[in-house]
Amino acid sequence: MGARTTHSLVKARSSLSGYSATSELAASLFAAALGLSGSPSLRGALGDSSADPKALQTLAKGAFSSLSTDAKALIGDLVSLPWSHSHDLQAALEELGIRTLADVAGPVADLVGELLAVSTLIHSDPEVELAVGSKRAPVTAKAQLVAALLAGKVSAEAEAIVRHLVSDPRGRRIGRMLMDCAEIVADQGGKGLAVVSVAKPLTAAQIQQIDQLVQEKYQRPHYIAQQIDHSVVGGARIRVGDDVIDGSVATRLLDLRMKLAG
Amino acid sequence: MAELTINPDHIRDALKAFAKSYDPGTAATTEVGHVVDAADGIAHVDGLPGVMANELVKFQDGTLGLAQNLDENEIGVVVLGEFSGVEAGQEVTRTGEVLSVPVGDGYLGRVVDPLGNPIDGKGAIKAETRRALELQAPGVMARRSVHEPLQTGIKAIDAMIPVGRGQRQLIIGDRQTGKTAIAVDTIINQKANWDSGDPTQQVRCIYVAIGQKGSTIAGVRGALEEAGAMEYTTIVAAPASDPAGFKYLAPYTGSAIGQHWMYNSKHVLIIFDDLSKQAEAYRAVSLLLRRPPGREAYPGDVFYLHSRLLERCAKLSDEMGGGSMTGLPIIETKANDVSAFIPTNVISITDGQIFLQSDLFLSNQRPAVDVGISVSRVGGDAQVKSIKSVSGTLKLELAQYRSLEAFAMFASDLDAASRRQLARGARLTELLKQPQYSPYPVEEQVVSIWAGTNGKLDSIEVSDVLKFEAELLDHLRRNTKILDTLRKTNVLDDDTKAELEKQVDAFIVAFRGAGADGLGTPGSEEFDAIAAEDITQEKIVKRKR
Repeated sequence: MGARTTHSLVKARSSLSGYSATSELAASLFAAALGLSGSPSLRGALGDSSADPKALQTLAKGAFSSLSTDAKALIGDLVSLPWSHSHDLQAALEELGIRTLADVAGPVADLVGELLAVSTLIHSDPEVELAVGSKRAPVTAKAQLVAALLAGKVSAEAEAIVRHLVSDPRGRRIGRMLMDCAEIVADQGGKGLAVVSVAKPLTAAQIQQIDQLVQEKYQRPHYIAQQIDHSVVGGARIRVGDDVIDGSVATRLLDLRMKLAG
Repeated sequence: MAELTINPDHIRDALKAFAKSYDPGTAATTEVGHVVDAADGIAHVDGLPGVMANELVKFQDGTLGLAQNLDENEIGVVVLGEFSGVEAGQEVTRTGEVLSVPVGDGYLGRVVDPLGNPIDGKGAIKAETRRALELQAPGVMARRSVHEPLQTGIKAIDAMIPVGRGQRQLIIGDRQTGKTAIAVDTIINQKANWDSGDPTQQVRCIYVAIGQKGSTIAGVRGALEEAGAMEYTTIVAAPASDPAGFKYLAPYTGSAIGQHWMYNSKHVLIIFDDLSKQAEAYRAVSLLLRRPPGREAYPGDVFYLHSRLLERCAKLSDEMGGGSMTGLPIIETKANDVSAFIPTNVISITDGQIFLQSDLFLSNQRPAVDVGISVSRVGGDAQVKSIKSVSGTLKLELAQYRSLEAFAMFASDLDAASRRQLARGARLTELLKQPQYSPYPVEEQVVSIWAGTNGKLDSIEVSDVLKFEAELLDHLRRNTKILDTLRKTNVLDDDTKAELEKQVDAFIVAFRGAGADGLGTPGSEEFDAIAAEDITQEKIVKRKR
């Protein structure tokens, strides 16, 4: 991510707080991101940081005239910011959409847990994984597949996010997209995301212990997501962003096996 | 043979004890990434935001990789080792170590791979320390000019294209022209220095084989062992079967081993055989890493690939201990074309080149050094005085001979001076022939070249020149102290010259008197011609009946 995008994203996140979070706003932002995906020329024009910001706002207003007033105003703010790459504007629209839905769901709902559960579900069946990641299948078919799979099982916000992700993958893999998305949702709630892989469910005391450990290390509260993975054998494997704290028995056995093998 | 049986219970108990001794320590935080795609020895890895350039990363199956391209969203990793275990989605962890190899005197006499692991089956190597592969070459203030000779033992080179300690002298030529032979002879010629036990004389040798056939490397090792030269030599082997990543790293590994000795005030000779194959390996790696191709599809930094490697060969100043590392890079040309991309690059980096001609090689002029276009830019300062004093006219006479030879092809009648010049040149050229694995000590070279340039060979048949030389040297070795004096003083003073003249003149008379070809070559029988009066002629006589 370029420096200009990093700066602009910070500004975009703060400007989001000025708008009331509604499902409509999120849907509009997703629709705008999808629109840019389908029109490289529009994406190129709106992501051109050398152009006059006012002209860009006018162009965005014209292009997205069917969207809600809030959405148009927010997109207007976004296009007037400089972006390192035109794709980054699209990614920013998606991120703001996810953040809006996270706000809509509220802190009580377990949106992060739902997204991770969807990830586990999709990974558990190779055919589903292939179908949602297929480049040849029409977008509507993939959205319908997700709707059929998740309807009634997860919240409307989680379903909307997953539906958008499979519609606009931009070369990313579904597992990676859902993990990034879960991190964004956790961040919107002021938390980091720590994924703990364990062989059997953790007790409340253990979760608290891990919470404390992670908070001390990263100076920030974390959403502790449990993943039951029998291959870890025992112990726990905590993943925070790109860092891994590996105390699993499986890794120690592997380490010992490597030592025996010389 | 004594039968050895071990109770399976004992083995189990021993393994249990070993497993018990394993201390997993506390779980530490490590950065992880995931393999996005992997093909042809290259893996693209997603994540690992803190990874350094040239850092070693570890794949899940324990295979190491070298982080090369640090891109915005992923890094390009060269897989060092078994590639079949690397698959998409696999976890990759940082090691926090920049690529380094163990170094030390334990490497003498060993054959190692580009990661410094022994591959000769002689057990583990005891290393003194580790040295990073990518360290900057010594700076300007840490160096001094080349001033000590590094004798190759080859008359044509030591006399006309001398190499000094700390010099980079390129050996360039087509395939099968004797490039490796020159390098191996140079290593063998260091035997006397090594046996002297004098650290200022001893030269530690490193032979880096890049993309060579396994049999060739085994052949070099065999030749070195036979000559007793392996005890002061390390072979870094990246044979043709190794992945491109290994071939690209091998010269840096050899250089790191050598630099450790150089900075410890030792003299080192390193041979890169050959850098054109390293460039090709680097081209393969770069193209697979999707770096933009340039001329001949080599990446933009192929010059820097060789310049930073060869700059590490240096003569250090006395404050730095006075160590040196002499580099003999080898480049293989195609159809004697020295103006191709890689040859011109390396020619411009090095301090001179020894050019080997395939035509000369095929006309039995071996070593096939083309003295006309071979040069040594700094070696003259390092040349021993005695050989410098006799070789001054050699190059000139050979140059005149070559121009005259071309002219003589079209003219049958030549004046006496030109004929003399041609005869002298033919003998000098013959004198520069030398069989493989038979390096000459410098004092013997001085005598040979002195005899050649002073016309002592003019009366000897061209085909007898090498025989005359061998017998003359043998005679001087047995009957005079000229060679001892030359070896000790390294100066050809007037007294020695007078003595040499006397001895050589006397020997020429004895050599010619004995018959240059002695008992004659097998199959050649000679008879005296019949005297004229003995020849009678049949006459036709008319008889009367």
